[in-house]
Amino acid sequence: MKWHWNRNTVFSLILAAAGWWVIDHMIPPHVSGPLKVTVSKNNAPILDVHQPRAVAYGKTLWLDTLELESGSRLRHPKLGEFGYVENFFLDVETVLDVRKGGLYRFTVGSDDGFALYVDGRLVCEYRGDRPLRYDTCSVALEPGHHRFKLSYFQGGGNSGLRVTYVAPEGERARPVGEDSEALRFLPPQDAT
Amino acid sequence: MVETLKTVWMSLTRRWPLVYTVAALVVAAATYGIRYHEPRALFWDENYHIASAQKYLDGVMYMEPHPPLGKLLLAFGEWLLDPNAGKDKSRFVRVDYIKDADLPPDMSFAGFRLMSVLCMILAAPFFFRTALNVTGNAHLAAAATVPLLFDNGVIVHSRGAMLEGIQLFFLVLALWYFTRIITRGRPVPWWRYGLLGFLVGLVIAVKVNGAVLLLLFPALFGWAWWPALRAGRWREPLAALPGAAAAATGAIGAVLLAVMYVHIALGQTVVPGKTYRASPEYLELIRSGRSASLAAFVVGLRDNWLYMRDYADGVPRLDPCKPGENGSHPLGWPLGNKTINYRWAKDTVDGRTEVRYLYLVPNAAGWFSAFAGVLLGAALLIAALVFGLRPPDGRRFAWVVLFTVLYFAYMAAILQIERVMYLYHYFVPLLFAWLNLAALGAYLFADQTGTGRRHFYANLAAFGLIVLLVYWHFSPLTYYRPLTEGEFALRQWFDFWKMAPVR
Repeated sequence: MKWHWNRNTVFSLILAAAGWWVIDHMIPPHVSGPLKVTVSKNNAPILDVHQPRAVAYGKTLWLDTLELESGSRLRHPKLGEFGYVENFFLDVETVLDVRKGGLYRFTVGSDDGFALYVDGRLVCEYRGDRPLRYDTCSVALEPGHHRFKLSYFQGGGNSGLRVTYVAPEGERARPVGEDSEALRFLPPQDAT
Repeated sequence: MVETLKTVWMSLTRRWPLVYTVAALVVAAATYGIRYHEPRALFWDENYHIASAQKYLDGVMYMEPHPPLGKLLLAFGEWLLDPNAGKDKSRFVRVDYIKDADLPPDMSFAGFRLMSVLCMILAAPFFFRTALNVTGNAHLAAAATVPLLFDNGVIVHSRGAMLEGIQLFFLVLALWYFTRIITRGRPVPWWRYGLLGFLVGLVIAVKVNGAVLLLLFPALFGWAWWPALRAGRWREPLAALPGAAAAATGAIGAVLLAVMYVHIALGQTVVPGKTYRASPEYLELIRSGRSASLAAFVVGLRDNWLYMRDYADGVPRLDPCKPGENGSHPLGWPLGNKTINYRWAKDTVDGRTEVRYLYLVPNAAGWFSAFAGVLLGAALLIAALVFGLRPPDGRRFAWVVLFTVLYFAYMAAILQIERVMYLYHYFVPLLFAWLNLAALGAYLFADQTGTGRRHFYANLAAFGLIVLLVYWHFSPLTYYRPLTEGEFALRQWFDFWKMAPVR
């Protein structure tokens, strides 16, 4: 059968493009990744990342990256905001599958405070309230698995979190969650 | 059994216009009508309109900026159903703006919202018949009706005790009658101008922006006398002009005066301190029980007019820098700029926060295609006027020209208004744009609308399906159904809509 281009064909193509666009914008975004993120809404105001928690309710998500800042708000690029505006904690857990040993440099940009642990040891922190500021901390990692945990809190006002790493002899910073030749990220329960 | 079904189906396919007319009525009853009394709370201009409507029911004199037919009909709905019999609504007549706290316990909104909803349900089949008159093709007319049936913006607004649903019904009725005159052919007797004037008068008697339909009269007269004008015979049309003009203006004037008379006659008492702009002479006539007299009508008309004039002077202008400004510039309306959060209610259960919204959001598929249609119509019109394009089908092209001109005439007039305007002021030209879309379909696909042209009809079905999908996606914002913040974000399709979740 021979196909003829005509007005109806053009009409069909326009409708197909519109239909595709509409359906694409109706489907909820889905993200899966190696970062286990627990969001905990606190009953009391949060002033310090280490203060005793009074968790009212919470939820767990699996994210692909810790690039969570846009327009001075804590936002995931696909999932959007986390449902709470103020006084909540975010605890990120993952396992670092280190393939190339050496000194790893983590940069944490947070609004408000944070505390970063590797294998249960506090690597760096900023305990209190602040606008988005960056801290860099280095940690020597042997090849193998290492537990990574980051606690973050949002008190009030603006919010945001960006965490990147640079592998030994690495040329550029990558967001935590993005694999490189030197380092892979594994979901906590998959690591042995 | 199969044979019977086959016979019924064949019988239906021979009666597509009737099938679609009934279908439009039934679907509109579902999309506009179901549970229209919810939420049991005021939103947007209901705070004003319900207070005004109750004053008619209680015989209290008041004045207002809009012509009174819309509010009279809102009051008629409440009177008809009387769902609040025995409840204390006395607060409504003492103020012009009521709050939720002023409502009696368990107040029902079924009465006050009835006429707006009913009018839009009835508008749907008339809109289909109008599109049918324009296109001559039932399937194409049905496809053009789908955006009206499933427009989230028009639906959410019309399900309240607002004026626009009532006005749109009269507007569709006037357009239907206009297209019916054209399809019936020449000559056009004077009384048809009068009947059209009556319908246009009803539109204007609800809101003055309906005056754009006055353009229908030169269009009708020009069409009626086109053969004579074309042949250079000016004498006959000139002789007919006074009769047609008198019939039209007389009918419009009669409707407006009759509506004003009812408005003034119903104002039989004056609430202390609420005299508006009533002169001592008018107040005296009311207090002496002569509000329905000719004398009261004359002074009441003058005082109401002065009130309308002064009120218009006091309405604020658009201030885009004002936090929470709901108004918007007319140039942004075709793309839905900006949406309005009419009402919301937040609820948190087990840490899950959900918000119910009544949000004025357009159905993007219906609005964007309407705008694309008027741009195409304008391009064709310019091509004809400037570049001498000779349309292959002059009659179909004339419909495109008519609705394109009506659209741009309305927008041009609105742009002259300095007071703040809102997205729902775009509903009137939106209806023109949808009819223009139907006319364009008939003009551009004139050779494709015959039987056996399945590709064209499949395209029409696909268009309807896309509109339906978008309606379904945005329906929680239309029907006050709960959404999480993430679900709301999934509906923030464009930044220029300026939708904002409640946190």
